[in-house]
Amino acid sequence: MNLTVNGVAHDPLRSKAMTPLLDVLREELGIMSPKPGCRAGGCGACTVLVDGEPRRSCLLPLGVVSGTEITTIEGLGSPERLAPVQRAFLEGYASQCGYCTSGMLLAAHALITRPGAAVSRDEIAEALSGHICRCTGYVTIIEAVSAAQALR
Amino acid sequence: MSAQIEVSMPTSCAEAKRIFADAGEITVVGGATIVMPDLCFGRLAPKHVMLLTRAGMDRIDRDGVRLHIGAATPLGRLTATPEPLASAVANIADPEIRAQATIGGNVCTRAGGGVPRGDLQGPLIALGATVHWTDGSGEHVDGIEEFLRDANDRRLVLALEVEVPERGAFVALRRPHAHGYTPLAVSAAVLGGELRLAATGLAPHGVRLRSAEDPTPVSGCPLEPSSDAIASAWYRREMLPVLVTRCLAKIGIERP
Amino acid sequence: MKAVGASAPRYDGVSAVTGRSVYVDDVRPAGMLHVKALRSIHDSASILRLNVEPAARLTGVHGIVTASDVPRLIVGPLESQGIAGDEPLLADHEVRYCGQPIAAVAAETEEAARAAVEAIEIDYQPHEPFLDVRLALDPDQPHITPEGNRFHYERYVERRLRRGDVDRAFEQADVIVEGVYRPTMIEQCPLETQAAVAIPGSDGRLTIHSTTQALYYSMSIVAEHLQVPLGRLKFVGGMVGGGFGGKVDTPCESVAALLALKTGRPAKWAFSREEEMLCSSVRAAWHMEIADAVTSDGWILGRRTLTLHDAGAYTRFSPYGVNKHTFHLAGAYTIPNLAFNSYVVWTNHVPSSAMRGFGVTSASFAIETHMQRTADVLGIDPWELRLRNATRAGDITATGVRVPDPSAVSTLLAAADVAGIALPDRYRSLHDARAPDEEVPDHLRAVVSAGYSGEGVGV
Repeated sequence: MNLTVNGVAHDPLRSKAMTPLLDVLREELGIMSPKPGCRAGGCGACTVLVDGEPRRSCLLPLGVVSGTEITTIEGLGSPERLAPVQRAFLEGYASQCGYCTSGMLLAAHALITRPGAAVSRDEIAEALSGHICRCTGYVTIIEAVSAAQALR
Repeated sequence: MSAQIEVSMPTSCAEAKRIFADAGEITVVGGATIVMPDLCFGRLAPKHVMLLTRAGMDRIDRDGVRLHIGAATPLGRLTATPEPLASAVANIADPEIRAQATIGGNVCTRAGGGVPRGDLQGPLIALGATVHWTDGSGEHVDGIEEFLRDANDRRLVLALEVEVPERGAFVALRRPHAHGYTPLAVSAAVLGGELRLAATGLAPHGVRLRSAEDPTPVSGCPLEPSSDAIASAWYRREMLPVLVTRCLAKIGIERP
Repeated sequence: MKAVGASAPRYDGVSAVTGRSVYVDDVRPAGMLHVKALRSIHDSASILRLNVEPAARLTGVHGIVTASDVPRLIVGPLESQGIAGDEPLLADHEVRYCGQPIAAVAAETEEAARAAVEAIEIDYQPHEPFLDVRLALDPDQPHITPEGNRFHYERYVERRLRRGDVDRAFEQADVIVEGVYRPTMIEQCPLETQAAVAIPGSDGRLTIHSTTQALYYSMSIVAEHLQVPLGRLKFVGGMVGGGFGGKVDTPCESVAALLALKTGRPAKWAFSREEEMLCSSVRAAWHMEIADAVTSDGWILGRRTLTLHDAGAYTRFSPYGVNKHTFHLAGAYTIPNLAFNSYVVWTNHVPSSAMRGFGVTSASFAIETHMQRTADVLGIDPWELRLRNATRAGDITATGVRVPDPSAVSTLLAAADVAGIALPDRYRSLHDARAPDEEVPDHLRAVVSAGYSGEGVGV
């Protein structure tokens, strides 16, 4: 089994085929940003990008994603070079406790970087509908994603 | 986790059939959205798992009015299928889950966990879908109602086939957000001039609503539904005739 | 004041968006063991037999703790306020709620810990549970404690508030408006579940990373359970993935600490989502009965309330929450005659605890809904009803405090503005202070600045 995570190849991985991708990232590779909010696919805190598409890492067996490119928020940008969604979240107070932030950012990034016209707030809400936030009430998050489009 | 599970990842349908035929006990995994939490929390402890993601069983082929849908087709790719299937799919979870969960997994899932499952069984029953499956010794085609009634676990679903209906519609109790499940939904389709109605949420599996297909006033509920965290049996019984009436109206059938 | 009105970036903002924030479950000391708990499957039962030996023998199991391993088993969160504790860290002879922890295992992997928990032998004798607070005053119900199901405050069983002459108010009223309000139990549901990692240090100190909302408070609780001086403990907080009151009661810390001491290795106990939803503290369910004695033109002469607060199986912070609740039952209104009785009732539900606005949200919900009910019954505009009875400068509150500058009136008027509701001019001209020529009705004379005599105020 192997993965490329944030541009770095990990081959071979020790983890087994039925290990959830979330645990491969956190336990084997020490990449802690995806979070175990529920381990049942119900909250979105574990979402990462698999070949650019947002997916629940707690639901993906390693065997299914072996060979793919995984992106987490560490790979999206750095403090010195924030990606548009990261800057927009920062400036828009779209993060309070921060636990949902990783999943939200990646889903948002995938949404606004896909080819096509700018997305509406309804489309943002639909794309992020699988992500639970218990702190912000979602408005600042949706506004930040909308604003991020202009930052690109 | 996952101590000593044998994992097969076939790269063709033929290989999947062969593995299934040769295997003793085996857990077949479509999208893994239901199996992974069960594994994680120790509710499932399979010795042998077959992951279908790479078996090429995710094609949608159209041949005239018939649609042939591979069992491992993710729900997100079914949004352009005919009603009632398309709307039922859009009513499940959220885009990330729909990109991973499969139609085969949805049809085959056991009811359980206190949550209704198998949201697509109702629409597929209304569409008169057929299920292509193998038990390892040969291939079979069953109507979906017959398939769901049979408790035989030793079946590998290969594909589902539906005919594009003349008219179709889907109506569900409003799901306030993506994390809720639909407590009750009614699907309707007119095929060859004949009306077919089905419901999910009344029983552990989707059910055909034969009594409501007759041109008589809509009333009552043919089954004794269960109560769960979101909707009581009483509420489901009360709402069924309402949903049936609305669903029929959507395909142009007015009934008192 | 430079900060007021200014926009400042969160100091942890960059950290949050770049994945650098460290949460407790991200802390991975070398050799860390995973903790799982055996939890009661009954609402109410005696524990007849508990045998952890079969679990201790399993591969990968390094330590198991039960009640007998806890140096001080019962530590009350409100001991400093004179309220004795009643809840064991781990159950000993009985369980009082489904999900109550009985034993905890530390093992190499989560799987091994789970297998060990399943190997523990336990025999219960289930009892009929007490689950309906409405039966709190019924002596024939199953008893949670030998003394019954109601916590006793210092003078009376209930928390009482008395003012004026409520009987007379009810005689004089034109209408009595009654209502029953029953907000249900709520799980705070932070996105991050509770967790603690306890790490034994070579200097004999124990470092505990915790999701607690109150670091120093947690430190004192753990020190009490372990019977060690505070100096032996080093608590590390960090980013908390939401609390909302759900991380005030944090059993993970003491249990992880005991297992770390027992095994000599770091130990982590992180709740699963299921544990968080089913077994962690909740916002209580409440049963509130309100009766208002009102005049037909909308003066509230008096209020009687009965509150039954579902504390669940143990006391925790309920007496404190019910105090606050009771003190707020008159709301932002001046009501001269009051009789409030509030009971902390034990049931075989999960113990309730803090959640935002602890004790007061239930009061607000009930009294404001009741105001609407009263307005409907009287056929009066609900804005008028509120403004008429709103506390004014110099009025005496339910708890006997003279309020120099309330903002009930100005807040109501501002709220109407923001909601786009056009109020008649005669409302808009009201202020938080009564105008000099504003008539004070007789029933209010005892509690307004015009003529406070000190009579009728009491608790």
